[in-house]
Amino acid sequence: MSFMLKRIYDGFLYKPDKLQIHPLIGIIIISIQFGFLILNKNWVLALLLIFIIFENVIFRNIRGSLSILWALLPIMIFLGGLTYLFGGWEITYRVLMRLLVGGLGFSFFFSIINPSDLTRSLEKLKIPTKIALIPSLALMMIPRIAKDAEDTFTTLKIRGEIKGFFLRWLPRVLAIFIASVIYRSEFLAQSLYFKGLGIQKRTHYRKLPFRWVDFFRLFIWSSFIVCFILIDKYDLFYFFV
Amino acid sequence: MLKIENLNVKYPTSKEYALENINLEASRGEFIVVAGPSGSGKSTLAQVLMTLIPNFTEARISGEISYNGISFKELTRDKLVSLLGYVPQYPSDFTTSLLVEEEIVFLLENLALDSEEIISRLNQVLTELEISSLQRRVIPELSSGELQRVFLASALAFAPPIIILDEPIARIDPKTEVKLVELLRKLANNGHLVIAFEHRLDYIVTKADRLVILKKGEIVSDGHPSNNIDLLEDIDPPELSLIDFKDKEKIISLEDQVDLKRIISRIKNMDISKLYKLDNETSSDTTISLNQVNFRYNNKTNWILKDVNLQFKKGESIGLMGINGCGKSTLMKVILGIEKTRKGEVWIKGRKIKNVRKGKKDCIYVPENAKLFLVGPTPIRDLERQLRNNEEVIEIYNNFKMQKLMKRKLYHLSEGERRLFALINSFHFHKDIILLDEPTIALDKKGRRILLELVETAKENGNTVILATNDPRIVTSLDRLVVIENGDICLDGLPRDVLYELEKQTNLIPNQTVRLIQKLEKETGISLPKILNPEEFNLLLKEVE
Repeated sequence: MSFMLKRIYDGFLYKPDKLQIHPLIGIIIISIQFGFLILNKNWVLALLLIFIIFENVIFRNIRGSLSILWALLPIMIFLGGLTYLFGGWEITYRVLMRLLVGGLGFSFFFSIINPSDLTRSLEKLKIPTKIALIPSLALMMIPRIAKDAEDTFTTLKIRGEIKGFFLRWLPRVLAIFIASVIYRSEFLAQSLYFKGLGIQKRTHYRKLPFRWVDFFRLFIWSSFIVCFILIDKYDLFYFFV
Repeated sequence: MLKIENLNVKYPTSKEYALENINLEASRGEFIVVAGPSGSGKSTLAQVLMTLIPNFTEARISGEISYNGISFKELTRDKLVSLLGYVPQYPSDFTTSLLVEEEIVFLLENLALDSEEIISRLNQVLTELEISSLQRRVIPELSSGELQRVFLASALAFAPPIIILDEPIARIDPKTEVKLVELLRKLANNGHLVIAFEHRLDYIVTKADRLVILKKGEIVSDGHPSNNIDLLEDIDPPELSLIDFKDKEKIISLEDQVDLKRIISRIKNMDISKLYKLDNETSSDTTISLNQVNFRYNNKTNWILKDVNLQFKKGESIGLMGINGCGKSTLMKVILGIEKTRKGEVWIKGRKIKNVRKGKKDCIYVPENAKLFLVGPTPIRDLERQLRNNEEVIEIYNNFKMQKLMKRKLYHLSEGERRLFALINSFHFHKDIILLDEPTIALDKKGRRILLELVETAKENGNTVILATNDPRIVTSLDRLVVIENGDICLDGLPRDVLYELEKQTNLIPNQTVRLIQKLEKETGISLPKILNPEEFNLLLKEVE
């Protein structure tokens, strides 16, 4: 469990030394990915995965991707086994592909998007600060909660609280973990209060220009959409197969 | 002027008042230290001033707080935010961003400062607090001391008229403590009102204009530190104030002038080995062995531990010292198997430690965030999970006079009380190795005394106790000190030897008594005995008379 939590933390943590991408482009692309993810076409899922792996490799999110893969592995084995038993190979394929695409896509998104920049760019679109801050706080909280959960789990494991059948210790661990999340969100609210969130229109201490890399990413995903349209319209997938 | 009149605060969960009849006046330009034992109401007062109580925590409040004649109740939120700066007790719970620089500028952006002004203030505060290297780091990867400095930077970057700091130096190393206190003094001199709620008084109180002492929610004294320092009952006063120079005036700071020529000439040739034990007897059995241990989080980060070779023995108490972020906590995690070594091996009682499952067999660990250790729901129920014998548990708490609090819900205890219960409980797990990360944060005098008692008992039982701490009151009482710097073991030996070499060889500074002796040696050119603490100093002075 702590192994998985550690990998989730590593995989979903923002990496400031990585190439920075404009948050709005990030949002647009993750929306495109999500949109295609819910399509019920097997070849689209494969194409999506290829594009996401390509992005993770060229923008060097290899460590983050591997962390997520390791974290997903037990879930994939469990869900894969279950769906194969009850639904056959096609459902198994779809479930596993969606897990992989979702995991790797979000890992890349989290590693390149500075949450505070996301707020700034949403504010530029005239979205009220209090609303613009919500996705940013979610981006910030997910790796932090994973870290909290890992710390809680490790401490309790050393204390000897985690032993035997998992249903015996899991409720206790979850209760402690949920209490700590509630307290963290309470303190976050206090912090936003005394740090003056929402008292007036915020200024931004830095600008977020679009760079060549943003256009490059748009080009990659436009290519993906073009590929999709061509393959879907002319049944090229069956032609190649 | 800040004015508090007849302030009373009562939590619905408690029968007693958390604060009772508080009256305080403070002007801009003053540097005030508010001291008091755990549960005396320090954090409550800080939170009432910040209006977090009653806005976030339910409490019944009566009385008035005003600034320049205007009640806080009448001040709008933007006025309050521009007026008050706050550094909370547990900064890690209060972060709003992932990046250090974002955390610092968040308040400045909310206050609509222009971008050039924000960048200038950001650079200034990063330089002043010597955290420029942290600017692009992510907050979850910082040590607690580093994070505390980031939060200080966040409050100081705006530098509002009133700055409230709840235990600002609890996690930072002594050298940074000196710099920070100088900075707070400078802010006060520039016309800000600085109110620091603090336990560790050694240095901060020497620069303060006033010391306000809280006890059970009431102000028992308010005056210049040199006048009321004697009234501190349940917290440690500055070390130097405990030295009894007899006919001479009491000193609290190294800068205080006291003529010690007569004393120096008499103590210079003293053989202190007759007065106190210079060596500690420990067993020859090695319990923990670290062989050529190397650790870093990933291939892109610097080595946190480099070729570390250490042996810890049975019945030994060891203090791990080092500046913030030097790797004290990481070393503990490597020993426990939480973090895996990149190179090298860790052995505990002849077993190679590869993961937590192996590490936990002989070890118990209280992390810096002691909240994580207690399963609860009350301290007594928490210990009962381990001992299963209610009478034994009650006896343990009775011995430490903690019976009043033992049935309270964990989240109704103060930070200091919660930590103390975590420490007491951890020593009753009957494990051979006890690892404590920053155990003295938020502990008052009673808490430290209990901790030292627990360590002594554990040693007598043959346990190995490792404490990651820079706390000068604790490290002088341990058997051995290990100083980590830049990933290396820089010093390792008896506290007497290590503390007298600390300033020369590392970026740390020793406790006040050692610094006094070193200052006297420098001024007079005479070699003096290596005295560790005020108790030893007083014993020596008694001997020469």
